[in-house]
Amino acid sequence: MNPSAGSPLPNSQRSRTIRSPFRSQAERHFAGRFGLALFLISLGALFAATLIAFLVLRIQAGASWPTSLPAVPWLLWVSTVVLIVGSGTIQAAVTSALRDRQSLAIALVAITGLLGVLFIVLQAIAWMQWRDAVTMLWNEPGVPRVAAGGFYVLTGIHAVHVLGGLVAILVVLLMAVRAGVDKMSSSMIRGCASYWHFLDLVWIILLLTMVLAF
Amino acid sequence: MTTIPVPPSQPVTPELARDNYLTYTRGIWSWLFTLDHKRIGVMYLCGVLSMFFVGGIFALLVRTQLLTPEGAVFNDNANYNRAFTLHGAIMVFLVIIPSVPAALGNFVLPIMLGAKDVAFPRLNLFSFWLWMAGAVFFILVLVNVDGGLDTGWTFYTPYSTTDGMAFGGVLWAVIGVFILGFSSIFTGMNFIVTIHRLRPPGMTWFRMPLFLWALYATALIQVLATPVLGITVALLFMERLFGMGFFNPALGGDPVLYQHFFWFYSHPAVYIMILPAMGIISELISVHSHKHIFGYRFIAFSSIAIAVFGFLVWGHHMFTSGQSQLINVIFSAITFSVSIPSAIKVFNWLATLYRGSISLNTPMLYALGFIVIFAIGGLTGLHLGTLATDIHLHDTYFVVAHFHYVMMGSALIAMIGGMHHWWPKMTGRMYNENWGRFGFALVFIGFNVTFFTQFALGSQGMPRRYATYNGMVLTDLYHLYHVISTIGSYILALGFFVTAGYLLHSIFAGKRAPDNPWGGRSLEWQCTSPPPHDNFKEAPTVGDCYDYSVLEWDESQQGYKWREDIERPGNPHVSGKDGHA
Ligand code: HEM
Ligand SMILES: [Cu+2]
Repeated sequence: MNPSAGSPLPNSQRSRTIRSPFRSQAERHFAGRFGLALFLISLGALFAATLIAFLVLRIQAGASWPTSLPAVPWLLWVSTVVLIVGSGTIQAAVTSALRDRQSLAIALVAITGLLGVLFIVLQAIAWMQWRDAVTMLWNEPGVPRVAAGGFYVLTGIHAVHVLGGLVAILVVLLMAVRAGVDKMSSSMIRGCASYWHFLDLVWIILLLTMVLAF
Repeated sequence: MTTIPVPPSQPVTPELARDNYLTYTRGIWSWLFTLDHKRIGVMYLCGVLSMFFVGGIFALLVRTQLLTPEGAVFNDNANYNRAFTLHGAIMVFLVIIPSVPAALGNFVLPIMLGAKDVAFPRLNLFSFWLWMAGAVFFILVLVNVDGGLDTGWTFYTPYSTTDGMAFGGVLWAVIGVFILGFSSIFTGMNFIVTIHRLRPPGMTWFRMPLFLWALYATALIQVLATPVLGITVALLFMERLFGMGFFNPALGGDPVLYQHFFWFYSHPAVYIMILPAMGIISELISVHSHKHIFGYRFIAFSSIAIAVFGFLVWGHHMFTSGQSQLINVIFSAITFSVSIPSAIKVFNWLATLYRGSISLNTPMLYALGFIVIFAIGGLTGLHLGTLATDIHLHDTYFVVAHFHYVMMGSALIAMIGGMHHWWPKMTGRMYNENWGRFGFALVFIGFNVTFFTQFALGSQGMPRRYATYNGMVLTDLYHLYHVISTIGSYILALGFFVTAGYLLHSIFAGKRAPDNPWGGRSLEWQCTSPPPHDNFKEAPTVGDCYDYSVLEWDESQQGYKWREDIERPGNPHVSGKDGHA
């Protein structure tokens, strides 16, 4: 094929071409945020359904709900603070990326990642505390299993989403360290920030539900 | 209106003319890792049709079993349960749900928008890989013979939680459904963003082809309802592995809760199946009767109305599960109201046909078949939505007939019609029209013989999901109906083999397709058949996509072209003006 005859690329370059359907970079980033918003709505539906399942079982349990059920481990309050601080640091990363303060932005993203890891560790310890507190209830006849098990489900599903967020943060971090904080990675930092705020919101609702329902 | 000359296209050398998305790059990897929505669509199509073949084998086994009251195939009734479960689960989750949006939608949607691709090509590829992963889990179920899945496609508890095998087929199937759900969510997200952000200048919402409205409404359901299915099967998974007891009354759980959650997704999911099918029908009816679609806005809005109402009727699957009488009445009433937007569509299609100049091409035959079958399927839904009659009809063959009329007879037939309609665009070849009509006749007759009989069977009380029916009061009657139904299913299978045969043949030996074989006005008919890698060599002209008066038949290329005595309007991409026809 004669490349000068028209626009088609020579075969050797074809597999590597990336074509964006968008007319500009800005439109592409806007679409990215739109897509993320839809994804968060979808995940919101997932969490809402989980919560509804739990509440239905809680209400149906009525008097059979164990009075001896312990309060949620106090460690969860610490992890709440950790999660919210993470929201602050990633938001600060967004601002510094916009102001083109590259190393600050990278550092803040990294700190958010570490806070996320800390959050997971705290949740894991809280799981062990909970296990010790409810072993007696797990097999007690007449006690709804969800009284002891619901804790794991609610915190566990949330933790899985935090892990997903950590993967995203790791990817952004690698990109930013390699190629600097460009348009692409700063738009991705914004995405991570929205996701983190979403995780905060979900977590606070879950925690309050557990505090009130247990 | 000023006319802007269309920019001269590239010099057409023979190689360039053949340079299309199929020949763009070569080798299996260039397909499996492609970011081209057309190739992804084609791969989905191949995957979906292969799974359709697998699901079809199980269907034939099930039908053959019922040839005699004692059961003609399976020694062990549990194997019968496995066969109909695999049939149902494969057909619903791997075939019908992805068939139109993921396979045809992926191919057509960006081209209809005049866009290069969907908004997120990588995410699109990822959805396809998720679909493949989901399929692999179902194949694990197939292989895992004795731990097989035998719960019915709905995975109702306690069947799905009490087989005593933590790692049995139910577990694999549930993981598969979870993954497929995310595939569907990502496709939906992609389509919503694409339709919002990539419409070309001049294509307002109310100038979009109706297929895109349908895909948009479908995508809303995919994004909002599928996560609920995801969490439902995730809870089932935890129940099985860790004994969480959500759905087990002995552990303080509630099996009816499972049903609520399942149907909260799965009723909207029937609209994930039927809405895009209806979108295809709107295109086919208008193009093949060469007449402007009637009641555009009504059809567009009824898609959205169906999507919204669809979320509020799930309880009609549970009239006999011990809901309160009040709830039953409410669900019954809302169920009736969903049929209004469905009927609106049917009347608008009929009005479009009225005084159109109808070409009985194969896609049109499928579209007409759809209208007949969907009318029967939808109307029998009303029998089931009526409380008093549903108590009698629930879990009989009447329900089986109803949902085959809407899922197979409507959704799948529309998909096959659409496949014929876009076949020249996808492959660049024409299939043989006479064989097409013959295949349609077999499918249509086979389908109705198979499933109309089942309405009679169900209304006489034959329960669904029974491996044998000897020793019943009406065994002789049931036997007669079952034999007729099974014969019908063989005719149907023959019809599909014929169809597969001439379509495959056309790829190798079919006539070359013109760019616009049917006389369509939506943008996909403005690019070459098959389209080039970037879809359009020159930006397409946006106009009223149902105004056929500007096209005429061109004998030399055996297709339609822009009429010579009418000026082609300015190109909006060049002039920045509204390309009004
Ligand atoms: C047009 C209005 C429709 C109405 C009023 C309607 C009504 C109903 C009702 C009341 C049932 C429950 C019957 C029972 O289990 O006793 C039912 C079952 C079913 N319908 Fe429909 N339906 C309609 C359209 C559709 C469409 C378009 C689809 C799919 C594309 C569909 C798919 C199904 C399926 C799969 C089942 C049975 C599921 C099972 O139990 O395995 N329906 N329908
Ligand atoms: Cu339904």
